[in-house]
Amino acid sequence: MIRLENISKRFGGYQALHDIDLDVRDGEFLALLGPSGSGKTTLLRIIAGLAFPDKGTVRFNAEDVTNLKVADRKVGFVFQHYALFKHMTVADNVGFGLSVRSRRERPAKEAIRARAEELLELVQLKGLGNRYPAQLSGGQRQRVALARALAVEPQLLLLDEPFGALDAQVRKELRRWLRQLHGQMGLTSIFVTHDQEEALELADRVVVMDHGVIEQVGTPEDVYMAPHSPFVSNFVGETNSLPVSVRGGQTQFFDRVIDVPANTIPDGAARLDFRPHDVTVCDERPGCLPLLVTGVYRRGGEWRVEGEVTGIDRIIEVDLDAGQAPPEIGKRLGIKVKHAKLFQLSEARQ
Amino acid sequence: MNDILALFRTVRARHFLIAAALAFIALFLVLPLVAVFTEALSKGFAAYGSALIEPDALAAVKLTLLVAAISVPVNIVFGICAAWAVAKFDFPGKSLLVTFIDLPFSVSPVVAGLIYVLLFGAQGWLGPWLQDRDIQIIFAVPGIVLATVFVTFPFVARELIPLMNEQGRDDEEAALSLGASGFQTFLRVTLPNIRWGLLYGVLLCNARAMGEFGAVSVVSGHLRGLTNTMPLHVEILYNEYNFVAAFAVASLLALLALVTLILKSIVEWRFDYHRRSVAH
Amino acid sequence: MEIALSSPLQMPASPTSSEPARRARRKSVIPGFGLTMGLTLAWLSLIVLIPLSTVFVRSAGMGISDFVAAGFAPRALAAYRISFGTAFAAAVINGVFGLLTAWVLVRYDFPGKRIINALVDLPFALPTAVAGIALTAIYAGNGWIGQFFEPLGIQLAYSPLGITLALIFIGLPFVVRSVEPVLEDLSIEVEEAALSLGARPWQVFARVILPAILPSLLTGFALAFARGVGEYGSVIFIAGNMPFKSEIAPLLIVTHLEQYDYAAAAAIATVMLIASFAILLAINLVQAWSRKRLSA
Repeated sequence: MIRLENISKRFGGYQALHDIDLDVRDGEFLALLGPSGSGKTTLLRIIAGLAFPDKGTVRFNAEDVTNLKVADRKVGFVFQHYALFKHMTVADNVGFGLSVRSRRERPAKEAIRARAEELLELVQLKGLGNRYPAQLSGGQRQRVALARALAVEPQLLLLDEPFGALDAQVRKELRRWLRQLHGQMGLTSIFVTHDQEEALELADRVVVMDHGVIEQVGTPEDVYMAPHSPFVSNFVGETNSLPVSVRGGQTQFFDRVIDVPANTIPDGAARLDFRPHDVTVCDERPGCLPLLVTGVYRRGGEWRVEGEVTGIDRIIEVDLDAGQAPPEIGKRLGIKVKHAKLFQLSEARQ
Repeated sequence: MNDILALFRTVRARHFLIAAALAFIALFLVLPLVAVFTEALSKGFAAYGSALIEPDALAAVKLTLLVAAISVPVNIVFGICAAWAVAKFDFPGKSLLVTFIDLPFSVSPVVAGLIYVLLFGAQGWLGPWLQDRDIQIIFAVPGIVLATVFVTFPFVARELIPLMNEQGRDDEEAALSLGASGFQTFLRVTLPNIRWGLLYGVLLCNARAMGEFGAVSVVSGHLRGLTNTMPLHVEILYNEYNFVAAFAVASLLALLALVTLILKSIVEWRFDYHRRSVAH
Repeated sequence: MEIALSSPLQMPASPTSSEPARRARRKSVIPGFGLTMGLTLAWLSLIVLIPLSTVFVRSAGMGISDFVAAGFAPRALAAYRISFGTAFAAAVINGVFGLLTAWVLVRYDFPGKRIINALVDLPFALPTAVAGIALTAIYAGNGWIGQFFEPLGIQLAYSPLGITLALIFIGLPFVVRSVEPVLEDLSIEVEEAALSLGARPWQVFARVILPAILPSLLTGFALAFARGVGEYGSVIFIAGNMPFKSEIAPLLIVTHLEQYDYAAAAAIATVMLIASFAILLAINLVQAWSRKRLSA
């Protein structure tokens, strides 16, 4: 179990992390999700021992490792750009961690080689041991980096945007494969990503970060369906935001009443966030939002409809079932919001 | 054992390494530079000044400037031609050509002078032919110019070839497609693109042209006031134990070196020009 | 609302310079091949190739036995020993300290770093004769440093030791400038990866960093060595120039020339040229080998 308490880190005039508290459970696959500058990579590096916090403690199973050097923490780190040793073969790369152990702890050369082969097979690169990194594709290199990190039997696996440098197709395949691998091995893993789709797909829990602060920790479902803050709502999944006002538990968009309960929000200005697919078509009735359709295109099994709403100058995007005929451009469409989140306007950083 | 070696990660180790490197640099680079100026001024400014305005010294300066004024532009033209041919076209034997262009770097300066003596000297290939026409190349200014052109031959080409290779052909092809002639394209598209590399190459070429010693020494004949460049004049003064004068003339060359370094640095820092080839 | 999208103009692909030119591509869109190539070849032949060939022609015209007698005479052999020996020693020292300098310049920040970086190129910019007299002034018996060694009976100037010191100055930038770009490219992440796998700092250096920079280190070494073998101006002042003891090969060539013994001069020059080419070839092989291993 990993416990982070009051972690703060400053770089020159810039506060990268503010008082971070986080628990990581054994065997879980945790995602640190956020835009660039959110501090997620800094946090990962502090856990690894590649950086040290100004304040706070890092504990691995109750042992304080805050000031322990990376070489002594027994973590496996996978870098975004692989950081493979270009002058060594793939097998030598994988076996490196074992070959640098002190004489007492170092296995025999054959044993190291055997273990490297074992791991290469695990990452589906069997037989490529004698190649050099330059001869491999990006996806293959990333798997070598993973095998190398696993070879030393770390207690924790840390991945820094592991698929960032890869093509979309390769990324998808590797994501699926990594999820499988994690299920097989059960090793506690933390990975950093700015891709919310990736986080939602892979992680057991997601830590959403912004500007050095944790915005929300929860399962992918929690974070997607019940965002705690406007930032999380915006960052995770696609969001439409409407400026509304709350009066006595009712939500009003200009003169229309929107059928979204607002019991927990005090009267005043607020923001209504809803996902593109959380809508249904309705006739132009009270409670319906009139949308002037400006664009329609096919997205997989749905029609993505773009439209304007009088009163605001943002484009609203909704998804409609492709089984029906698409709405016409220039015509009005009534939409009803099925599920939405309301935020008080002081929270909402427009 | 590991704890002691972990020293390399500590601040102390970092300081030690920096100090060691600085000591090495100070000993081998800074000290000689300082020595030139100290020795030149060891008998005061008056002695320094009079050494510089001495007629033979002035003649040496003039000859050095003349030689540079001829060899640098000539090698600029060559360098541009060579780089254009290599970077904008494909042809077999390209790497052989580039190797040949590089040859003067790997040849000892003395050999560089020797080859012209073998060619134009009294006992050389063309010796008799030249003597019949009363043309003096060796032991005269033309020989000095030739030897200097040889040793400075690759400098501009060596900077421009990798630069133009990296810049590719797209810009030129675009200009041509818009109706520009070859020459217009070169003048208005290529030249602006390569100007910092060109300047860099010219700086190095000029420094070598003015400072060349070995090759020029062999072809020169060492006639005071006539066929002595500044470096040769330094040698003459030194061999006569006229140390202050020797260092005085040397100090001018050292100042030239410093100016070259400063301009080089400016091109690198302000204009973000980074050398691509290994230094020569 | 319609957005008009026009497909981008297709530019013809630029030919890659590493592929051999195919028939169809030899006619390039860009003009000036004939002119530039012609001038280049003409200039190259007139200034470099033809003059250089005179050395070999002269040597060839001597006949084998005469060539060997002149090119490998005892005095010549001694000169080669001095030239190659001191150049080697200087290149080794530059290898070590040049690596140190490159490391410090790439990895650390300190006041005056930019100036030091610029200074590294001083041996390229400073005329060799100036370097020669300055170094002599420093290392001669009554010189700035030489005076400390004189009472110990160690002669720095006028000996092979002095030659080596001069060649260290001359060769200094080669190793530094060869290694620097490779060190810069060696991302810090590779080092961090090695550390995260449990390597001790010296292991990181010996097994990760050093092998990666070895080709460039060898290249720099070879360049410094080649330059040192042929160096003249900075050496003859500090050398002493005594035959068999502190006479470098280039000086021997000059001596033969002054005695109008062109043949002997050509013979020694031939030997030196062959040695230079051999070194160049070695450099190219090292670079080709490393390129093969380190890139796809």
